[in-house]
Amino acid sequence: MKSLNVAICDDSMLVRKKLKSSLEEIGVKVIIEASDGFEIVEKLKSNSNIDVLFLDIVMPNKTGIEALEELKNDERTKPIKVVMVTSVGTSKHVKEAVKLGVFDFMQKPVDVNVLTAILQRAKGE
Amino acid sequence: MFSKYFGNFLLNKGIITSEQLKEVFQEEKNSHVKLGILALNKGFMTLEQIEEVNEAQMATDKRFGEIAIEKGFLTVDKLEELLTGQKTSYLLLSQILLDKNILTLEQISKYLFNYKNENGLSNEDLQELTNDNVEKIIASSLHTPNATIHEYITLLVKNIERHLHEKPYVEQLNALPNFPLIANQKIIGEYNLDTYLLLNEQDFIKVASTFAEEVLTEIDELCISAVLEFLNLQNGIFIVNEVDKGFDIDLQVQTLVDHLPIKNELSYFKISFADVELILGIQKQ
Repeated sequence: MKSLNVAICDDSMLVRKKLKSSLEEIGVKVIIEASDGFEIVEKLKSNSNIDVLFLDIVMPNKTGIEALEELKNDERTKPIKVVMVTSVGTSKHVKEAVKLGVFDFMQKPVDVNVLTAILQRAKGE
Repeated sequence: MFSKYFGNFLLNKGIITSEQLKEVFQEEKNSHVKLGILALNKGFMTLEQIEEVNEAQMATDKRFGEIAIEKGFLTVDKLEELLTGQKTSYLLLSQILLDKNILTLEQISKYLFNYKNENGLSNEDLQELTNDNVEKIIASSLHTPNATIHEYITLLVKNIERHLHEKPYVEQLNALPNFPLIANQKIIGEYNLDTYLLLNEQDFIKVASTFAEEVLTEIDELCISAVLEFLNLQNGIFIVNEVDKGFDIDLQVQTLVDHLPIKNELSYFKISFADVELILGIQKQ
């Protein structure tokens, strides 16, 4: 799974570290890392070759839902497949994210099998 | 888990010493057989299935058996057979107390009767406790007037068992000891729940290391993020359960704070496990 360009965004250094190492385990390199919604939106607007973004929901400055909305409203970042990674999968968040065009959801702690399945789907396999 | 409560009861009554209790708990820890291992041993489940259930268990508020049945790995009958084979902590405690000649069977039974009476429990309650029913244990040992706080603590106990791999002992505190490190997260909405985890530096590192599954030696960003993520996970599962019940609540960002709010109505609970003392401060508004 080497051809996907992946970005990750979570305010927890531990989650970023675990996610990054799980992705590396299945041969995926993380191109962009960010620790809040504001930072990821800024970084993605200036780097348009990201295929998949793993995005936390509860974050400072800008939440994952707010970041998702902004990304989907910008032609440059609209095609990015956004996967919400969260411990808070309430129906309210799910509805909001689905309405905004989320690609998938993944629960913490990260499960490599789920991660692999999502990335395969993102690649259209 | 009930063994922690009955063991501490025996300690508080001066029936056994703290050294004996420590020894008993160590022995108990060594001999506790997990359901997954029993299932593997009996050939009911494969290693892959057990791992799949263990991973699923990390993200939900469900027991091993529940998930295994949902996934079709176990039938109800097989689960019951496994549960019967898994000695409860109370049975193990009794066995160890007997084996070590600390108490006789008559004495154990007498003190269990006293425990029941002092806590105003029925025979059915006691049966549930000795079967390690976490909800019942928390309900009988803590006298918090608030049902939400009760559920919060029950979930926290389960999460400590799942993610920190220890069976905790919970008691309500009247005076708050001085703890330098305070993790905080607020649940806001239809009701507000303010949650704090208070730890000393050494215990903070221990909790972080166990949760992160790596050896951490100092309080750096990774260590802090591990404890905060544990709190976030607890609160995340808690609000999912509450939202399912119809409450409109949400989570704020978890953070390390310098001090507790000056004016507060926090209730404090000491949660002890494996030499760690974790204080939960919580208030509902």
